[in-house]
Amino acid sequence: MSNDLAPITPNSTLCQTLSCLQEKFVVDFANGIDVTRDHIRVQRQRTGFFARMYDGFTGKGARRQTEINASLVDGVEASLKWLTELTESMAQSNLAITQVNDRVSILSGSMVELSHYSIDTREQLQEMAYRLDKRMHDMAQEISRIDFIQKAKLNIDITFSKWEAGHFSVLSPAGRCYAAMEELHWGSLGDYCRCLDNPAHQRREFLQLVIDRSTKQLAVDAAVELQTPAEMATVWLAAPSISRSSNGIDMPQALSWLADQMTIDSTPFIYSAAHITKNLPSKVPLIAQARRIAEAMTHEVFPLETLDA
Amino acid sequence: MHQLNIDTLRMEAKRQLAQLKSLLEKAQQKGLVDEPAADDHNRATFDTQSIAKVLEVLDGESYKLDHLDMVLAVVGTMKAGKSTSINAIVGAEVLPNRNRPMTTLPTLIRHTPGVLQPRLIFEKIQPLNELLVALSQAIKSANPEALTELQNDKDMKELLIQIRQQNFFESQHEGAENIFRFLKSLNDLVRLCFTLKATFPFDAYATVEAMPVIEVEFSHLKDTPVTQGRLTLLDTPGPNEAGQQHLRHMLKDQLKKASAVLAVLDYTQLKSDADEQVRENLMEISYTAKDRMYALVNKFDQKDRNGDDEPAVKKYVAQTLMKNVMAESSVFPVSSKQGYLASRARNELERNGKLPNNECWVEDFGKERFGGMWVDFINDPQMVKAGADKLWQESGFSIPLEQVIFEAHRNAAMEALRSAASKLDNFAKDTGNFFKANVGSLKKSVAELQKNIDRLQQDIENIAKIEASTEDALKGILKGTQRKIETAAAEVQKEVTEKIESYFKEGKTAESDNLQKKDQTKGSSNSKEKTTPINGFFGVAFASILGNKREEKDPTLDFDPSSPIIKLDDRAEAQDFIKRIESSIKTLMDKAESDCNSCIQSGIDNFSSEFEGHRIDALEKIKESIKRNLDDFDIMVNLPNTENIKIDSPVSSLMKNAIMEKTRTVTKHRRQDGLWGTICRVFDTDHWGWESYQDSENYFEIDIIQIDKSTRLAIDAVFESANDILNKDIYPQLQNGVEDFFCAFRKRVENIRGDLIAGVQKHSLDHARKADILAVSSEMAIEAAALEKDCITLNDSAETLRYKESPSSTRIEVQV
Repeated sequence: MSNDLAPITPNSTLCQTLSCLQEKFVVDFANGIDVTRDHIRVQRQRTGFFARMYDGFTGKGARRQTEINASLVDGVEASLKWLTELTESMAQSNLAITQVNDRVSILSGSMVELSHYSIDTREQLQEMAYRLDKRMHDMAQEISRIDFIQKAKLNIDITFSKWEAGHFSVLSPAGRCYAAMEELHWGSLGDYCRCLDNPAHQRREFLQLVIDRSTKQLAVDAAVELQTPAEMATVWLAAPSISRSSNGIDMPQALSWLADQMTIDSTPFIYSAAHITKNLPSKVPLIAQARRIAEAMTHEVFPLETLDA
Repeated sequence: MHQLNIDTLRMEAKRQLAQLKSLLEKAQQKGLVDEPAADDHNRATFDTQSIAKVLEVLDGESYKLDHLDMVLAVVGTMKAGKSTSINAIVGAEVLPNRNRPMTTLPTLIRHTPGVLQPRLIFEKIQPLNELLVALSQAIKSANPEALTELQNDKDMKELLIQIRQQNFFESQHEGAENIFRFLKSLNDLVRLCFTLKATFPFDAYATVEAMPVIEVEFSHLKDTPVTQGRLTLLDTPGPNEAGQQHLRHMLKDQLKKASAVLAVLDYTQLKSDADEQVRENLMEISYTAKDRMYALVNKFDQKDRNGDDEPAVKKYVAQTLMKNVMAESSVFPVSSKQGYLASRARNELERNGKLPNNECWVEDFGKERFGGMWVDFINDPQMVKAGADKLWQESGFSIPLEQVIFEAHRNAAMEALRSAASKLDNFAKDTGNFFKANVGSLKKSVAELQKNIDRLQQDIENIAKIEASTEDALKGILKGTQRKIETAAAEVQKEVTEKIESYFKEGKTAESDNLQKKDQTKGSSNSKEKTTPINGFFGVAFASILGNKREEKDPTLDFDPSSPIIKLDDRAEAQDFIKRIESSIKTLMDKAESDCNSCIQSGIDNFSSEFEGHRIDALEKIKESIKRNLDDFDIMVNLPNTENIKIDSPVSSLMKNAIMEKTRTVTKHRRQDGLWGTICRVFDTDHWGWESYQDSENYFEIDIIQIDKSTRLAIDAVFESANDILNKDIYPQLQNGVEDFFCAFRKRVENIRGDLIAGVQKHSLDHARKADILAVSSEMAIEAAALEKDCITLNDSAETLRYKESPSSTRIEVQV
């Protein structure tokens, strides 16, 4: 049974369905390491979901039950060990590695001014920075290779197969679309599209494909014809009645955590699909055709400017 | 299925209006909007002047969406109980129900929460007071006999005193009694104008804004939230009430625009033609108002055992009387009197806890509910409440009231929605273009921009050329249609000649046969036949059939083959003869009318296909050229909607009206000349018949020349009216449509060109400022593009919903 505190392990169905969760987890984990306070921030109040993943991914769930003082294992040294391990095993995307790398650079800089860290710790960090740098370099080359296109295509196919097969079905149609977008965003397609060396026309073509497939699947899911506008609140944002499976509660929570950096103003469609709000954001229409939602979601996740730049 | 409801669309329209407004305001704040260009043709899509107007329009549309204006037009005769029905809807006596028509001018009765005592507000009182001055002069020079007659009329006497003393009318009247007095004097004033041959200023009251308004709280609506809209009843003058002719066009227009039309018919007169004119009015507007017409069949409480029951009445009215333009479910047998008494009693009880003692309606209510023993019950509030509720139920009023108001609300919401959606659609496109042009022109060099600007100028000039040739085509088609009408007219006149001629022959034969019979009965052997010179057209015609058989005129029997007068001894025979002539002429008239119809219709069709065909072709080419010229801007210039190059009502109904108007002037003119129209019966006018048919002592005369003349006049009137509507109605409509179309198209291109010109000026700004403007414009272009899509979706949904019979989820709460 699932409850608010049950840990979410990498092997859980949820993580299998939304592979982007572990990518984001690694990034959030890195960003949570606070060297000045020798601590990792696990902000339980704000994102209960991250805490559950933290427990499940770092194996702390069991220890908490024996009431071991968390602050000891939450220390920077231990955290860096975990980060190294997590990055090696879980972070697959250039997006995650780049962001972890950014964080490690900052941490290294901060550590120089702090005397209480051991040489070991400093060396560990340097080693990690080195490995990340190498991975990024390798990846950049891979991404600009022509056969990476295949990976991007595969990312699209797998994502939409999941959607079509009903793996996101506990979410509202718009929620499903957003879940798919995050899978692509953290997946090979995202890496491909963010690489400005890749031809713009190919990137545009990919995004158009994403829009078209989302449009079709949205319409199918909501049982609305392609050209027929439907109500946002009662159709596109209407979640099926919550199922008893753990997915029924966890997946919406996961979605909300994935969208924790999204603002109502810059990404109104994602905001309304991922968070429960009383009123729709003013930029979201009350009625829309499937295509409108697919386009808006796609462009909120892959802003047009990144293509035009 | 997922049914969109109108309230969601309304809210969406409001959201879009707010979004568009904030986008435009932001553009203003960020300095993207410049001062208007000096040359009108170089103006940008938005400048500081035009953007203010656009914002005003957006606010106006938003207000209209929040405050729906529901107009429920009530048509019917005084006798059918129109006033009582209105009082029943209001729940108070606002319109006096006395024994004569009172509605001289159309009057609005507006639900105004909190106003318990009705008050009439008539802002435009000035023309009436000017009339008072004019009338005081007219009276001085009036025929003394007529004046004496007027003096004998009590009401008129009061008015004459008012005129003499120059007591001007007030623009506000409080209370039912004062309202009644005012409306009565208004009515008397119109009558007086007719008597004194003075002109009543009907023209001044030809718009809704000029009409008198009675404000009062409708008791049934008092708990309805303001957001549900404001209900206004439009009390239209009955078909035969004074002034109606003058305001006919306006009224028809109002009926078409009304959120719902409620006709009051008389149950006891359903099978007579008492309400015929009302029904005809309904038929006329049924083309546009079909789905929002309702009929109250009043006085259903007078049904006796043998009378039609409810289903039969619904069926008869819907199918037989209204020829299926009205659904059976829109017909409601009611008793307006019971409805009025019940709702007034309930209203009174709610306000004061009891009924007043000395008002006569209370007695009516008591007798209606409790019979002869009413006095015993009337002071018991509980009994009265129960009785009023029961009576209200019996009156049959609650269902139609709920349905009609519900429908009115829906239609008003639809109107507001459509208006907002179409404006949004246009403005959002403009806004999108504006930002795109801003972005594009900053990305381009000044030289490139200048090239674009010059090329667009070429396109604008090409549009003007096509406009000129389209107008020529329209003129050509007008001329062609006129010629066709002329030909058709000549043909019909020829047929008239033939028909009349043959009737003349027939009549004369009958006349001569009669004479022969008389000869034989007299046994006269001395009848001599003289040869008389036969003159004129009929004479020749007659001579040719009778040959020399009767060449001499018998002075005693007085048979004159050349005389246009046909004399018949037998009344029945004469009547029958006349009837047959009448029916032939009616057929000819109908043919004339339908010939005109088809001439005009084919003219319009010609023009439409001409326009749709190669004109549009040429315009598409220009559109392509514009697109090429603006290629890097991603701007799409669409052709304006061609919907407005159409005739707003069917030609046949236009024709019918024009003919009625024309024959009215013909008969009027004839009346002044003392020549009574013989064509009138053809148009079903009651008073004027075939006056040429004179009954003298022992024989009946039919003046064939008179008939011929009248018929020709009538036929001429038909063709003249065809020409009239062609010249005054249809051609201007088409011409305006063409003009609007090209104007809108040109303006759009001019504005984009203006945007580019403004863009050239922006190049002189410093680098940082330019980058800033580019960033803001790009962001806003994306937002505008999204909004543009939403506007199209809204517009389409509104149109789809309009054609679907889908009840909205919101219902007005009517206390019933």
